[in-house]
Amino acid sequence: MRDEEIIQLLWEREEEGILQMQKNYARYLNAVAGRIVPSYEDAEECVNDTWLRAWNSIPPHRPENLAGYLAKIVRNLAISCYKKYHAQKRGGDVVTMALEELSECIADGTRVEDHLEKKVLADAIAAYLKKKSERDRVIFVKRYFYLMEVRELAKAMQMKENTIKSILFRMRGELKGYLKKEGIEL
Amino acid sequence: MKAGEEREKEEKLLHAIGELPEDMVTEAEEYQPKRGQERGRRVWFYPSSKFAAVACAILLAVGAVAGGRALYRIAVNAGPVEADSQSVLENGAMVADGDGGGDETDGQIKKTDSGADGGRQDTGAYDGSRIPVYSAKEKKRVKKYLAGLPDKYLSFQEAKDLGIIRNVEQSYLLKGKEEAYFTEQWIQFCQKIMDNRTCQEIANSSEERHDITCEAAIVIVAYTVEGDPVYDYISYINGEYYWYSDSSKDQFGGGYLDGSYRELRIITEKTKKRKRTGFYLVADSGMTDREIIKMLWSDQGYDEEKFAPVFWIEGEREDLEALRQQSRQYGGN
Repeated sequence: MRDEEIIQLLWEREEEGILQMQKNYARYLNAVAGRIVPSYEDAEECVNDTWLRAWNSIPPHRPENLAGYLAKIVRNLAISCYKKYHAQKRGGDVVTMALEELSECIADGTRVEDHLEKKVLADAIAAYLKKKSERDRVIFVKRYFYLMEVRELAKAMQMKENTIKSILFRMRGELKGYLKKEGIEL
Repeated sequence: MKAGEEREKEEKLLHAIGELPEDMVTEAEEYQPKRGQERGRRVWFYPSSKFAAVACAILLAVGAVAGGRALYRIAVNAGPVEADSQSVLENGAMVADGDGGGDETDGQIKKTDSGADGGRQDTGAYDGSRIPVYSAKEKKRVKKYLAGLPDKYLSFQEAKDLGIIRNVEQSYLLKGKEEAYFTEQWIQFCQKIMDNRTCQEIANSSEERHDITCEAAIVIVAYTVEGDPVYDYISYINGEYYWYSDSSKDQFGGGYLDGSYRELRIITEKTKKRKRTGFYLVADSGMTDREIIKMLWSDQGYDEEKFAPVFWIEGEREDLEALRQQSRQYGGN
C-alpha cells in the first residue's frame, strides 16, 4: 500500500492504517532503533511506541513523507530509551531518573522556548546541509541522525573509513562556523 | 560543570538533528553509491572456464607460430626479425636498462611483463621536470595547473606521460609492474628531496635561503567511487612542503584542501595482519608518530592543517629506513 493511502486510513481513524504501516516500516524502524538502544527488546518497544505516537499524531499532522516522519519518532524514542538505560547503568542517577519520569508528565517533555530553540537549530542545520553535496549530506545524516558507526557507514558508502572521518570532521567545523554566522549560540 | 555544559550542547544538537526534514532523512536511507565503478574499480569481464581454456589455446598457438618463425629466421640467418618479434626484443632491452621514464615513442603500453621478461619491472627514473614547482603563496597557479589536468580515468601510460603518479593504495586498479613503477617514482621523489642535504641545510639557514633553491614537485592521482580523479599536488621548496588536494573534478566534491608543512614523516604501522608504510606531511615536528596514527584512526577525524597523509605503501621496505632517518634529521628545522 502506498504512503498516501496509509495516511488517509490513519486520518480516517481506520486501524488498518496501523497494520499497513507496520507491514511497510517495521523492519526499517527496528533497524533505526536497533543502532541506538542496547537490546532487541528495547528496539521493539520503541517501534511499538512509534505506531502509537503516529496513531495519536495523525491527525492533526499529515506528513508528506511517512518514512521520514516515523524515523524521526523512533529515533527520538530510542535516544530517550538509551539515556534512561545509561542513567540506570550509572547506578541509577536519582536526579536524572526523576527528571526522566517527570518529563513524561509534561506534554512533549519540552518547554515552548526549548521547542522553538530546537526548531531554529534544526532549520539552520538543514539549511547548511542543503548547501552540501548529496554525498556529504547523506554521510552527515547517516552518522548523526541514524547514528551509524563509521565502519558501517564506510561500508554503506563504499568509501574508506578515513575519508568518512575526514569529511565529517570538515563538516563539523563548517557547521560550527555556519551556526555562528547565523547568530546561533549553543 | 564545563563537561555538563558540553554535554548539554551535544544533546541540543542531537535533538535538533532529530528534527531534520523528513526528505533529508529518507534521502540518506535510500542513497545508493553508484555502481559500476565501486571505489574506482573497473568492471572486468570474467570469462567462463570453457571460454578461458579456448582463449588460452588460441594464444598459445599464435605464440608458438610467431616464436617458430623467429627461430627459423635466426637459424637460417635470414636478416633481422620482423616487426612483431623485434618489438618484443626492443622492449626487453628497454626494461633491462631501467629506462622507462617516458622514452617510449609510440604512446602505447608495451607488454614488458610477458614471455622471458616477465620478472623484470619497469621502475623508471623520477623525472619531475613535467611538474611545475609552486609554493604555498602560489595557490592560484596550483589551482590553475590542476584544473588543466585530465578530467577522466588515466591509463598507466597517460599518467606516465604526464609525469603523474597513481595512488598505489588503490592497488586493485593497478598491475604489479605499474604499482612498482609508481611506488618507485614516489620514493625517488622523496629521495631527491632528502639526498640534497647541503641544499636543505643551506635552505634551513636564514642567511642563505634566498640564494639557493632546492625544489621538487609531484602530482598524485586517486579515484573516487565514481571514478572521478582527485589530484594531490605536493611541492617542496627550501625545507617547506606545500600540499594541495583538488577534488574539483569529483562530482560530489568540488573543493580543495591545502596546507604548508615542515616535515615529511614516514611511519610504518604494524598490525597482526598487515604492515603498511605511510608518508605524512607534518606541520609541527613536535608531533609524535603515535599522535599522528591516533588522530588518523580516531572517530573524530583529523585536521589536515596539522598533518596530511599523502602516500601509502603496503608492507615495510628496508630501503626506507635511511629515508626515514634523513626525514627525521632534516625535517622541520
